[in-house]
Amino acid sequence: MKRQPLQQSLAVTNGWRYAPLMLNLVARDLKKKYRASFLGYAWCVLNPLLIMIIMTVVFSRMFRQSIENYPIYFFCGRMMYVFVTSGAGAVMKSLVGNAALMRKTRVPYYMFPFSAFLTALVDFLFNLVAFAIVMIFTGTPVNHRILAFPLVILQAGIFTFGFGLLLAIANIYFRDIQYLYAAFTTAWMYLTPLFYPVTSLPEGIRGIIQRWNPLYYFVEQTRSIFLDRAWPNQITMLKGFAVGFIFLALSLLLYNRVKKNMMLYL
Amino acid sequence: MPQPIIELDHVTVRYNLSRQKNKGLKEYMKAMARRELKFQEFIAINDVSLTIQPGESWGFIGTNGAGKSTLLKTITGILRPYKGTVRVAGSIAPLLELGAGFDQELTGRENIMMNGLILGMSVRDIYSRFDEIVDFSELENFLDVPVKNYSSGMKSRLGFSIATSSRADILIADEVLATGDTAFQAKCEARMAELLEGGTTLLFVSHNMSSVQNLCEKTLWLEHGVYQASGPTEEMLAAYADYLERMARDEDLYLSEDEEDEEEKTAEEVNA
Repeated sequence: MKRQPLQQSLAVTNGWRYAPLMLNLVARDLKKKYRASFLGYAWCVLNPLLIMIIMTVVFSRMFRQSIENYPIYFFCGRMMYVFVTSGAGAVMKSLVGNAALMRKTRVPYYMFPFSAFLTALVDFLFNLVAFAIVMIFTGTPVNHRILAFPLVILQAGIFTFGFGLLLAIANIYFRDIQYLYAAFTTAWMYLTPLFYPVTSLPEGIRGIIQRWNPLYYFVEQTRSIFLDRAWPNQITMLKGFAVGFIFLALSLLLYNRVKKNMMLYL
Repeated sequence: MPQPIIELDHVTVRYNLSRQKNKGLKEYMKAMARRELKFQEFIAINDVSLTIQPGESWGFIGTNGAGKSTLLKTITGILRPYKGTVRVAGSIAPLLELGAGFDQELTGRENIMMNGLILGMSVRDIYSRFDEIVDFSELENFLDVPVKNYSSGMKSRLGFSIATSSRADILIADEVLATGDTAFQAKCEARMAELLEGGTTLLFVSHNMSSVQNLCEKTLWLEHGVYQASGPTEEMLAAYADYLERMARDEDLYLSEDEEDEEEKTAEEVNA
């Protein structure tokens, strides 16, 4: 029997051993979310459809001049918004939320943020099914430029995980973060042209949002692909990757700093 | 001399009490300035060394708050030593609390999978030992019931069954038999004895001295995080029983004096 320092057995390097547990945690989250309801997993698809219908009924007349295909316009924005904000929100709660488990069993900590992120990704895929249904119903054609969409998902995913992990670590030390987050996402929703056209914003604010709102990078690219059937703007794409990697790097640096003593504060 | 399976070398573990007693804004700010708001250090284990050989069974005794659970958590790797080193050469199945790692919303069946994975078992292992786990826990009629509807005895039965079927090198049991009925306790003791025969190393915390006596050849006695003594179980239990008796007697003596002290103090405070 080889003798090794205890910490080594918890390292990320032999992380594949925990892949089944990771999948199990994701399955657990999905199961818990939908098990009690009568329609079960159908809600993953029905819910975004219902919201899209309501928003279309309420707003499509108001923005008739500036937005041609309102259901798709809104859906492109909303699915990215939900992916980023609810994904980052779930990752944020993952460390504090699983504290009981972490205190009594020996599981690598990174499992929890990562499985929360994967759950959000699965939810996003359900959203895409709903999106496909809307595309078919509205008779919106697609072309080969849809091939760029996985790159948009990748950018949004990297950003979501990095941003969420930063929040998750901050949330350990300041539990206020999770309450502030709800207000923050509401503000973020109104500061991103999701249900209104970007042209309705005053000139100055529009520039700021287009330049500094990372969520809008992803929304803009998605709309290019599905509404204009064009390649997404390359600069926007670069910015999307850049902001994602910056947040990911910052969060991993911070995580490595605090993981040793994290348990004492959970 | 074989290589030890667990080696604690002058281990000190600190704990965060995060006392939540705020006496208004001023005190709160003061605490923040002293950086004590979120962290109040408490030395739970103070300079403990211990060497355990493979196949040994160790009991851990001491009054409440002695640091027994903290020590086991440190060996498991949940807490890191503040000073000193912990070396473990083998896999660990920790049973630190009744139903630790159970998800209340999931069914017994789903929790067997989840808990097995948490203990580091492979999916194939879990499937092949599934019947064994269910048989031992005697829960075959409740497998598809969410664990939140289990009684505490049922939870401890399931937890114990999973942990002991993981075939880990080291089994850590922290006061897990307390909720089972006597029949199940006896069954668990038999199972642990059987594992010991097979070469498993057992670390066992209990306030039930006869369980410790039955299962453990050696015992470590802690008090307030400080090593008191270790050695053959019989001697340790005798010393511990003496200590408890002495404490009970001293307490009777102190009780009256303490009360007087308290009264004096309050009087002083009022005068000031």
